[in-house]
Amino acid sequence: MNLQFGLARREDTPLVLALALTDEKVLRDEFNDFHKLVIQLGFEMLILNFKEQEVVCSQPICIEFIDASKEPFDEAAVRERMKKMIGGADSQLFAAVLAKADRIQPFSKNQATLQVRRVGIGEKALPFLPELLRQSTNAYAQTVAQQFGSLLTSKAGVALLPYAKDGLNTKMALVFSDASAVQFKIPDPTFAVDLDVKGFKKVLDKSTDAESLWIYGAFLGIHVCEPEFNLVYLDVPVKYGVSKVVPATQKSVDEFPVVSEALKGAFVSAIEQMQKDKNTNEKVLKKCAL
Amino acid sequence: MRSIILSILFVVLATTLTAQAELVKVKGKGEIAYTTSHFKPGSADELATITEAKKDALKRYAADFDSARFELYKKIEPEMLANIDQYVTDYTQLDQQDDKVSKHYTVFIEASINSTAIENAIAKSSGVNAPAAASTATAKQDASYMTFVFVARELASRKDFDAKRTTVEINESSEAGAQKNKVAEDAQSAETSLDKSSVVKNTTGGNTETKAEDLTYRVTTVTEVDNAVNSVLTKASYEVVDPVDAGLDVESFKNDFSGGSDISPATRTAAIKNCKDKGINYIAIANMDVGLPEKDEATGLTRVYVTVTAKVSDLSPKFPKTVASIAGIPYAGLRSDPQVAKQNALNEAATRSASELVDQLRMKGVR
Repeated sequence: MNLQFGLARREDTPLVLALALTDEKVLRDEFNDFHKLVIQLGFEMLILNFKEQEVVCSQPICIEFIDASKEPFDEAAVRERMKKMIGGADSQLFAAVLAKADRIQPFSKNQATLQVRRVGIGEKALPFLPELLRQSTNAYAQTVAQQFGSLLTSKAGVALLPYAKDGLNTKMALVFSDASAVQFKIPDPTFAVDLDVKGFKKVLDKSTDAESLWIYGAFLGIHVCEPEFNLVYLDVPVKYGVSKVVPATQKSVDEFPVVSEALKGAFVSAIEQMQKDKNTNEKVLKKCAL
Repeated sequence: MRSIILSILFVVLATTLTAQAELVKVKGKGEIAYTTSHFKPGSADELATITEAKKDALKRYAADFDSARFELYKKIEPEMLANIDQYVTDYTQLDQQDDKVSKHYTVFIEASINSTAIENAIAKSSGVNAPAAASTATAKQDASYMTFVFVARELASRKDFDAKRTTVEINESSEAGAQKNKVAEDAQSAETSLDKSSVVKNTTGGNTETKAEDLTYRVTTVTEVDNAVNSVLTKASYEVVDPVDAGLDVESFKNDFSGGSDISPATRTAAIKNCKDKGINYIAIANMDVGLPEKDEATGLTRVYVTVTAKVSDLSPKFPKTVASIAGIPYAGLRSDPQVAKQNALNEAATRSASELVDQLRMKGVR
């Protein structure tokens, strides 16, 4: 992707549209007779104000690629798949950008904004995470915030500000393609969403000689508030389950994709609750609507 | 494969969007007690509550000012609150609460505050032209001239001295004894014995002399710093004179700051004399200590701190007096490249310290 736009007077345009790669995960798993590869890429489509060095608005984009092979995935194989994900007009990224391009726009002066402010990862979630994410829950929190934000903008069409990895340091450091780095301030949001991934759970639903049916559940807490005066609009637990059939011949189960699916279901349920709750819908979502 | 990357901007598309107005969003809360049996939406009470919320937003905005600016703001606060709609141009009502028991109505808003209008009001109240107008303003006949020397310095060498230890040792010894003679009863034989004791006294002491480290600085003047300071002072309507035109020997300032934290009496005397001869009433002198580059843990970028010590002297009285000063205020620059981080920190330090000095001068009515 290499789009170019001309400028009549470059000095008059402090606003710049940018696409930033904010999250990159390559998860490799080895099972009895095959190797599995999961590539998760998170992007933020941003409008940046270079004069004020501030993020004007953002739209999160998440894309995922899953592959399996009898041979292990080497670096070249991963690179090739990533290239397919992000390069060219038929790539996942291009399709995602096109789908969200109309939502990225400078806010009007009275536009209220929403931000995923905090993400908590509970201890009961850790056993289901790959080792890499268990060691770095901040990285997983970033993914959670981005996936929730991406779903929220798709389903509710709200003006969103990027998740700040470090809650105390509300700045976003961006390294540009020319290797220069600039730090942009993320403005204070009008409303905030705190997510608490309390944990995952699996229960055996049915079992026969041939297969077992497991239910994987994701347990989430969602808190929607106005942060300055601490006006709370929604504070509810949400849970969502997905089923997984495991053949008796299969010795081990890759559980992370299953709980991730359950978590996405919980996100959708949480967003539906936000929309169904009159208070949250009228006072938060409608005010943040683009 | 690379590890998780903090943030990489890999496609940048410039757009032809125009900048929005200089508005700052601040939240505010307004509350009133109503006397009617129930609160009526759209009533004068509701308008009064929103006005209170706007005033609260302005106060919250001003609470972030530094002390000198806040003092200037406090002088005109009543007037600004009385004309709140000039400064709060717009608002979004976030929420409202009607406590029917205590008959209190509360409204929460997000106000758009016109920061330029506030800056103009502060500038006007302190007797100088508004910044917007200042750039085109011509020099007034009775204007006070100001010159400044801002030097940046960073550690060039550091000589540490070993501690000098002086040891004193006194050894004293003494012997004491008694001789005993014993004669036998038959007087045919005699026995002589000697009891002897000796004492050795050893006293040690001394002192350790530690000499202060010998620091040498590399001192420079930076064009970007001069431009930043000039811009702040000019916008605040001070008539700025280039130090060279003022007859100041900038090299002697640099020499003085290369070894210490203050200028020598000779440099000061010469500078004051030159300024007085040329009718320049104010001189600002600042040294900016550039720290060593360090890694910012949050972003992974390079951070450089610049610490500013500055003083503005009024030369119009018989003896010069200090009218504004700042001491040891650190400013940080954050970039991927250490050189750019340093330049960024110097620019930030120059702009903000000059603004702080201007606020202090305005507070004292110096113009």
